[in-house]
Amino acid sequence: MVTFIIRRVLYSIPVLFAASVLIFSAVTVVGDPLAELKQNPRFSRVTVDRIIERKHLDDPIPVQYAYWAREVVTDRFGTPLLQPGDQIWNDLKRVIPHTLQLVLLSEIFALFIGIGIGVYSAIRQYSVFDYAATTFSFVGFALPVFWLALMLQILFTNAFLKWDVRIFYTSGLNSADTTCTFCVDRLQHLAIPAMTLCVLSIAQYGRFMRASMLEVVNSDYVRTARAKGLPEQSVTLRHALRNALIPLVTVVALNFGALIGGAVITETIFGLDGMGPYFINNLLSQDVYPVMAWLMVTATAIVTFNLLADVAYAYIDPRIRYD
Amino acid sequence: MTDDGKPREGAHDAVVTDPTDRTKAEIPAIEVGPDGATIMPASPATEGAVAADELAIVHEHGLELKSRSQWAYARKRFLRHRLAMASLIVLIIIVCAGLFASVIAPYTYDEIDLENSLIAPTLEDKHFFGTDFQGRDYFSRIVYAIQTSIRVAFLVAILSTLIGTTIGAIAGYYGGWTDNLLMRITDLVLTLPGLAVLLTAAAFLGNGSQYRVAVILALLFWTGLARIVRGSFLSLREKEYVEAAKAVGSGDTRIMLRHILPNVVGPIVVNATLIVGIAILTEAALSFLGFGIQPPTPALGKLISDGQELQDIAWWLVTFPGLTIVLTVLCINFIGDGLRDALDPTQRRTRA
Amino acid sequence: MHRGHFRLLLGVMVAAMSLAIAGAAGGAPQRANAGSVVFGAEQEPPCLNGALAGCNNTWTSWTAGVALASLYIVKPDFSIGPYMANGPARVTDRSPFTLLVRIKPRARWSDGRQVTVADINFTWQARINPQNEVASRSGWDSIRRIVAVNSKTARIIFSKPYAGWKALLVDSIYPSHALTGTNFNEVWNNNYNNKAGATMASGPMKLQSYTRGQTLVMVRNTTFWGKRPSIDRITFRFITNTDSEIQAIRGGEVDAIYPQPQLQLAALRGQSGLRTQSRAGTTLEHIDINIGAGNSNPLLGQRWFRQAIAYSMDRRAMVRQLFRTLNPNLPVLQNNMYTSNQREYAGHFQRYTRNLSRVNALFRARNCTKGSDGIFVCAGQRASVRFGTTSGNRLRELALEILQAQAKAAGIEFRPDSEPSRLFFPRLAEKKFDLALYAWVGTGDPAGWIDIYGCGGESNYKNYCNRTVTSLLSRSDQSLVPKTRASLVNRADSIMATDVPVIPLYQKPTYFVYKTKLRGLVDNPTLQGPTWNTEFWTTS
Repeated sequence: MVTFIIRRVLYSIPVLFAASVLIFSAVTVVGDPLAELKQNPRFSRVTVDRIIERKHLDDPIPVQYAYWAREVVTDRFGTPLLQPGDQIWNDLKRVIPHTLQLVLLSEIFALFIGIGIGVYSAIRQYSVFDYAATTFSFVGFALPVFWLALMLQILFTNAFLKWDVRIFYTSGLNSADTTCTFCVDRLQHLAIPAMTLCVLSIAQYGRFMRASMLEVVNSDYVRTARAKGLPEQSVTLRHALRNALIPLVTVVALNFGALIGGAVITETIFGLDGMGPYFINNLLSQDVYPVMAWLMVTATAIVTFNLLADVAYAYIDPRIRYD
Repeated sequence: MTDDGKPREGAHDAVVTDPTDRTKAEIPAIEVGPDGATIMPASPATEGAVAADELAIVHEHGLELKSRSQWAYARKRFLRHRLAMASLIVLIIIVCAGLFASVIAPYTYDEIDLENSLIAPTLEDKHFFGTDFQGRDYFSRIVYAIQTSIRVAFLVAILSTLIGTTIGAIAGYYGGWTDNLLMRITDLVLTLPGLAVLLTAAAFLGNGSQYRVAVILALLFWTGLARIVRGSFLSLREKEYVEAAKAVGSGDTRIMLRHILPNVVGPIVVNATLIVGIAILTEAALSFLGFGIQPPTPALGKLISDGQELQDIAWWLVTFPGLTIVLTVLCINFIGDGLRDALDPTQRRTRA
Repeated sequence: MHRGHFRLLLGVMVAAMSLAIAGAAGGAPQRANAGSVVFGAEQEPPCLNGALAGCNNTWTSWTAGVALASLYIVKPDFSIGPYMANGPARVTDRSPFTLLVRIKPRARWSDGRQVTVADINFTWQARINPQNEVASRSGWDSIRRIVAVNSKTARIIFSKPYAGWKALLVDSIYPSHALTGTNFNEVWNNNYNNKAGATMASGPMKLQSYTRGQTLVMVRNTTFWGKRPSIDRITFRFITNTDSEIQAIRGGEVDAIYPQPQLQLAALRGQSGLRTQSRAGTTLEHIDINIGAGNSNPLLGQRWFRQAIAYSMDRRAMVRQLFRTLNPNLPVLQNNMYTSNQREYAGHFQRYTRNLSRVNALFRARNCTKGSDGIFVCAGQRASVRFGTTSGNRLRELALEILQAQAKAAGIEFRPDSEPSRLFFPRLAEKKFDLALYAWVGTGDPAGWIDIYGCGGESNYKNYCNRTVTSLLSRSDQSLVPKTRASLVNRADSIMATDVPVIPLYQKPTYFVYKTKLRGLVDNPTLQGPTWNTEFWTTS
């Protein structure tokens, strides 16, 4: 096991390296980040030259990459293109917690509801609830995240306009006069984005739990427990559910990458100050250093989660052996 | 299916390919039935025993078993799946609406009519879905947009299937270094958050043309299929008939194409179907964010994004394109489910 | 999981939800205390030193920039009036071109020190220092030296006559005693502190705090040399999403917003308790026509063809459609150098209204005939050109679509050619376009148009070269008599109205929405912005 983990980590390093080279080249090659500034006749040419010099924009791409790599190691990802006095890491430090808050909230919803639906569907297989839940899952897989976000926005905005009651807010992280993080106001602002984000996860976890429960419920040891005369509910909840839940860990871990994508879209639509808008704005202005920082952070997180998923899976199922 | 664009991955190719089904993805062949009533290899092991039992009962009663090909069985199973059949019909309607847009649409998609801006859905003047800000008929725009979406999605499915199958086949068949290298490349693609890479790639290759967008998407969606195909090839290459073919002197390519590949067609087809759905969703997301297909080619995602500004006063601008996407992808998913049942019957348990 | 556990968990969830809903009921935002304003800012300054390229965002000067007063300001009618200066600047000498500027005796910094010529000197030095990544040096690099007649009177000596000098002195003045010896590129990124850590201000409000991603708070500058501000606090809340802005002002979370014009703002119309001001701004949306190398259709090199394009457009209908809900009185722009708000404005392009018979006449005079698709063909060359803009900009995309439909009906084909701005502008610079819709941001002063319309001008992407126009513009840049200058510029523009290398469209309107309880707010459509007169704001 330990060798497996070490080997995976060692494998990941060249993968991350290759990914970083690819993305860096892609973002740098496509166009000139200073183009819009240059076309402004009032913009000082001296400054343009200075920025080019400071960020080595005239050098060939491998050289630029080397400078970037150096910045990553020595200066915590360095500075953005136009603001030599800022630190990219400070911006990331600000936006990552916001995204984490949203993702965590959404996953908590998703786990509770998804597991509940899955388990109940399995217990009452082929019932109306089961069919309804499955339909809901399928619809969940077919919903575009951004469209759901917009529909919910329309719904709640119209509710507010008609009845003048504000249950949840449809954009922003906080109301204009507060900046608290762990408060009801933040919850009210994150509720709809979290609802949007969790739909797909609920569909996934629901389906998975159902299948998992079904398999467990038909297995030998559950039959034994029943034969022993234990009450049905105890059998279900204590024995079956526990065992059915464990593999869910893997699914949750693997879902992480998809969650990031969903979060990017959701945060953009709801105007949340998180990783999503940070990435998109910097991508649009072709500021390669923040884009690279973002990608490295996210890629590392994904690799870590995948590794955790694999380790957890091997831990759970002793039949799995890694060579 | 995920919004970041990649088919969901199992933790290991050797164990599961789809977290919603817990059977091992090893695909051993079902052996030939005892009386020459061949049941061709295709489906996972547990069906083998059942088939043998059936045959035994049949022969007990002195009956002959009609020889049917695997495809006939598959088709039969699919036709029995009512939801899939219904979805197929609906999808055909939608696709035809897209293909024959010029016939069905009461207007062209760029007929600007400033006098009739933002009309709510009505039967008057055949503005079934209302009009947009420039007075263009929304129903027509959606119908043309369906055409674009379907075209892109099918292209993506075909391309990514080709790429994924090829890579998976080569990796699985040859194993060793080749396998390692190809799997590392797959990991490379998988490590990066899909949507972010898509956006970067769109910025890189220059978005706009639907064909470019299709290529970009295809370059990211092949990984799931590659893993499945690789897993199958890894196990199937040990089979006796492969050894036999080698002994006879068949070349590698021939073995891969004629002997192993047909057994893997099931999961490939299912996966390809699901990719169509994911491609539609992802292309819509890209267009919505402004990185996808550029005007004047209408695209469902762009329609939603354009409608977003006016959503408070013109709800239909966002609702109808979205419903179209949901309906289309829903049908595709049901069909995919039906196909999975038809071609991979062991997963029957997980069907609703 | 035990049954008990399940119930407990359920209970917790229910409790959490009821808390949320209860919070909602009582959760009306606290009323900001009287004398304080919450202003929704649509963009966040990337950093606070507005002179730097990286911080050069209009919102930088509109929020924190209120703390740093300038010698002169541009008023809403585009005239320039003294602020920290004591009266208009005087030209004392033509050669070398010399200005005499006096600073108000009372003008001082918040730490008690007077605003002196040393500060003007420091500002100039900081701006021309090649180490400093300053956004714009134009004008400042024409100054040869600054002589202090006394601590409050400066003689600014230019190396060559600079006609746009009035606009020059509108820039903020920096305190030399606080900033000497510091790294200008980094020192005032996040605050305006002097070496003792106290915030510096010469304007009516001073910077109290800046929280990235959230707020920027300005409080009354008690040592302000001008009229004592009635407001004691302005909280700028960064709301980058237009939907959020609309929600925020509707829900009463903010007292004022100043958004870019967008279609969804129509939702605010008729909202009670809100007042709106909208004026034609200084962003001049126009269409550049590529006359020479790089275009895809040689017909574009012919004046009659360009005129035909202009006659095919109904700019009035397009502007009306786009801004019907936002600013129905927005005029079509008919001049390339002056805005409709300025005295010097003359509508040379007025003649170009939609005139299909004129279009037909122009084509038929060259023996062009309409093809089967309704597009004119002239000696085998179709009347078809590329027409692009910055994609993602909704108003521009809409304008393009409308103009495209109009042209098609007239027999000219526009092939869409839009791209995101980061790809669009480089292509413009390489002159690989036919028609391009984008904007120049004007300052009201016609200095610099020669770069755009003169032969070989650096920003002349159109390959346009008319010697008369170039000479007129060049002379205007040297002319120090306002009336002469204006007439030279207008003559150049009227020649361009015949040459049609460019078609002006409209000035993007400003949009100022605020609660009726706020008084004294006046929309300033110049770069000065809505916070140009915060000392006159009151809230009842």
